[in-house]
Amino acid sequence: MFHIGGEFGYNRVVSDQPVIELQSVSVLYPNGIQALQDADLRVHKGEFVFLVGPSGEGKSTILKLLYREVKATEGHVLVEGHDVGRLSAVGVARLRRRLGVVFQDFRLLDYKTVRENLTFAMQVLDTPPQIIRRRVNELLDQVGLLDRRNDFPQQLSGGEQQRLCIARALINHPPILLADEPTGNLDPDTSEEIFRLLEAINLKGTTVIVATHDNAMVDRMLRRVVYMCGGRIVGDHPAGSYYQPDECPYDEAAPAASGASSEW
Amino acid sequence: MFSRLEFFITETFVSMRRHPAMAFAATICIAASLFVAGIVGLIVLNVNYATDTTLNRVRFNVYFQPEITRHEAWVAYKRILAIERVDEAQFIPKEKSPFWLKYQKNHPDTKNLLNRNPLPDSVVVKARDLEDIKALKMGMLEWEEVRSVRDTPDLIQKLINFSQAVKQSGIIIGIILIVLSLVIIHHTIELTLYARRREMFIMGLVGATPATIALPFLLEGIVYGLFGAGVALGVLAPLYRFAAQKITANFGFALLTKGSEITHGILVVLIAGVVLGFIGSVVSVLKYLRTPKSRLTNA
Repeated sequence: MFHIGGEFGYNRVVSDQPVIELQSVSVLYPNGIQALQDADLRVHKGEFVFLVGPSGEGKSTILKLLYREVKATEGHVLVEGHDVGRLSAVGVARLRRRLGVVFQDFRLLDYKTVRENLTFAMQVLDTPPQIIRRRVNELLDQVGLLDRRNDFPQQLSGGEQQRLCIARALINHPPILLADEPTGNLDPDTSEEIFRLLEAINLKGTTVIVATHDNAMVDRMLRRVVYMCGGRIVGDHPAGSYYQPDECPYDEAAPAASGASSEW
Repeated sequence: MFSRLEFFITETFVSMRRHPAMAFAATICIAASLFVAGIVGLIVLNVNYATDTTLNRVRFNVYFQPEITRHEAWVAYKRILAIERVDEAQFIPKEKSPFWLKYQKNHPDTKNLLNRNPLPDSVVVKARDLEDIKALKMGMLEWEEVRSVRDTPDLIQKLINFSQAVKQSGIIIGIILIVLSLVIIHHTIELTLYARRREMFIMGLVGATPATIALPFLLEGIVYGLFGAGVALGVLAPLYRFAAQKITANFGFALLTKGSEITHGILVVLIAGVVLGFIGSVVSVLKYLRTPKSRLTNA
């Protein structure tokens, strides 16, 4: 066990047990783009980790590996001790119930209300109606959208839409939350609001991994920062220290990985 | 499980309401295929009906040797009746022969000349199966008591050939229509999948199994199939009734309008609609689920 600090005035106790482990992982996309190369990473239970670096350097690929949208071409990806590369289709479904995923573009159903967006995700998993009602209210309260439950996504602000997206990611009580550029479409104030929400979720024990470009927030939050460029992990800064952006020794490789990002 | 099925059924109809053009295209495409298939099916059914009705009347005459006694002829008749492949047989004594009766009617002065009737006793035979006629005739011709066997062989063979040709053509056209329908349905349902890719994405994201993700789309395919079959039957039935009335009035022969064949035909069209919708959906959904990019990007 060890402690980490944060600007928001608390200390988090983090287990030394890794919940996520990348062992010499490489990803070569079918179009020949090397999105990730020989990446090693261990994330412990309860940690809050930022993946930072220029666009197309493999941050999103790491998240996609974790929720098994992408398979590693080399190496092993372990989530809670399970090698996700070896999971069957049903195994992948079970894995995804243990992960919450948040996206930059929210991906909400615009013809359903706030409440229905959450209900839909739970009905799909055959959750009993009384549990759905309770959990939906609980989540809407947690993300501050209880009053907006009957509104449609287009009636919400960007920050509210992202909060709804986070609520959806939490429906299964996942121990791990993955966020891919969650504030990419938001202004600085709203971004801070979202990061505070993610911090609050992390405080309850959820492991949070955020891929982001928002260096100002990263610097303020004093969390662990993993710096990526050229498809490689080139820096790993522990929590509690101010983050200084690393030099990328693979600058020339960046355009290729960028292509991978736009493709995938 | 029941609440989830209820949820998916509701979602199916919500999706159809949200994408009315797509739902209309899928239904019409299935309806058009089944309408054409229905016409082909009705033609085959009616040709078979007409052929069977005509051939059902076909009998052949077995004429005995003129020198055998009535008793010997009767024994031979009983032998014919005992043959398993013979459905019916009727003994015609020479004095009751239609030819003789007609001759007597036309020549009343010959009424008392019974002893001069030159015709032999005969038996009118109906085979259980039309295809048995040839074998039965050949067998009976070898009997000592039998002098000749007569029918209209060319007509029978022509009718059998025609009926078989219509059946075979119907099967070939049916197969072509099924393949064409499946291709069209597959592409139509692929469009509905594309329209609902975000729902699929969310389902996959929150941990639904591939079977769960596929279920609403399979239901949607089945509903399109049922609706399509309903539309095809709705158009086909009054058209057929109208055509049957016109044909009966103008050409004097009746088309098949009642009976188990028509009931079976309606059931076949409904089942075909469901099966076509289901298979079309399965193919599309499997293809879609095996394409991770389309499942998760731009959803």
